Amino acid sequence: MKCREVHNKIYFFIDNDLAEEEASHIREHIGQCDSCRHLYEEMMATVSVIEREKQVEINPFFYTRLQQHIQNNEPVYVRKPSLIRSLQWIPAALVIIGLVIGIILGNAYYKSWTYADTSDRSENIQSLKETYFIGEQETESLAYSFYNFENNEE
Amino acid sequence: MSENELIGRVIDGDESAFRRLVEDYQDMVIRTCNGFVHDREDAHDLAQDVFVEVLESIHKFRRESKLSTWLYRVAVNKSLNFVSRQKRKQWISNLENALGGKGYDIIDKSGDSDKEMINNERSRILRQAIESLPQNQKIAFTLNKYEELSYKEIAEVMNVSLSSVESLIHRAKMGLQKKLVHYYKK
Repeated sequence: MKCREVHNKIYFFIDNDLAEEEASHIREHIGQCDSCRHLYEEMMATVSVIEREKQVEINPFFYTRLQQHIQNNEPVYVRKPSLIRSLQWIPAALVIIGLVIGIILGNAYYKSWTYADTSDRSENIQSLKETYFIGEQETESLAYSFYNFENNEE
Repeated sequence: MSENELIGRVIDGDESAFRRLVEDYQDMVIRTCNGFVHDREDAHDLAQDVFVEVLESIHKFRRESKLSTWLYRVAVNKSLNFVSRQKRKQWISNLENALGGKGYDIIDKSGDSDKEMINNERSRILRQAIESLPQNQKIAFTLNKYEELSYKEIAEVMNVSLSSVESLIHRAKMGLQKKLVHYYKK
């Protein structure tokens, strides 16, 4: 039997759901394969948690508590929405509103830049060039540099 | 006192009959709720709600099934509602933590022994695996494993055929096996 076959049947083996022949093949494999034995032990311990959790200690005063509960006439988990409970959505709502406003503003700014008046735009680019690109190819093209060089040579 | 007689007396407002009904079925109801919510206190609180509902609507009980079958149905419905509310609360709390940058609470387990910590971890893994199952598989599996109901009884509680229960439990085991093998082979 291969490890993969054991993995596909290990829960049913633990739960005693397999025919004896199949179970004995798995038992044999687990005896020889460290990895599958480890898996079996871990899964066995995990599944046995159910047996432990089944043992619920019942409160001896359950009926007394129930009587009080009925007299108070308050369901334990169906509470009226209080101000605090309704406020718990505010952080999530603020984030969503913030994101929407950000997207709208970003979009508006992008559009104003893209579709702005061309004369203003060229002025803007010119001022940027003067500030940041002096002496670089943005303002002095390669051809212009050669022209200057030749003139100087003369 | 027969079941029919007990129900009749509860409908007539006989408090001692209601007490008898509660005492007869409290273990079963608390265990069932605990199978879904995995917390003793929550299971007790939910069981209280179950019996309040029984008191309020027992006059609508048509007695076509056993009283225990009806109680199981009420307990399962209340438990599933509770679990989904808890999930929503957890989601909001996680979101608030993420927004507030509080991160996750660090639970001080220094008092726990190593064995207890390992058991708690195993319990958490199993609970997560069961919780990830589709709802009908989870109900059938939980009633079978935690409450030890037979397939026939589960079929009555869930109002489905016997073969459906067999299939649900088989698929639930396959699902758990896949999740647990994946977890332990990581």
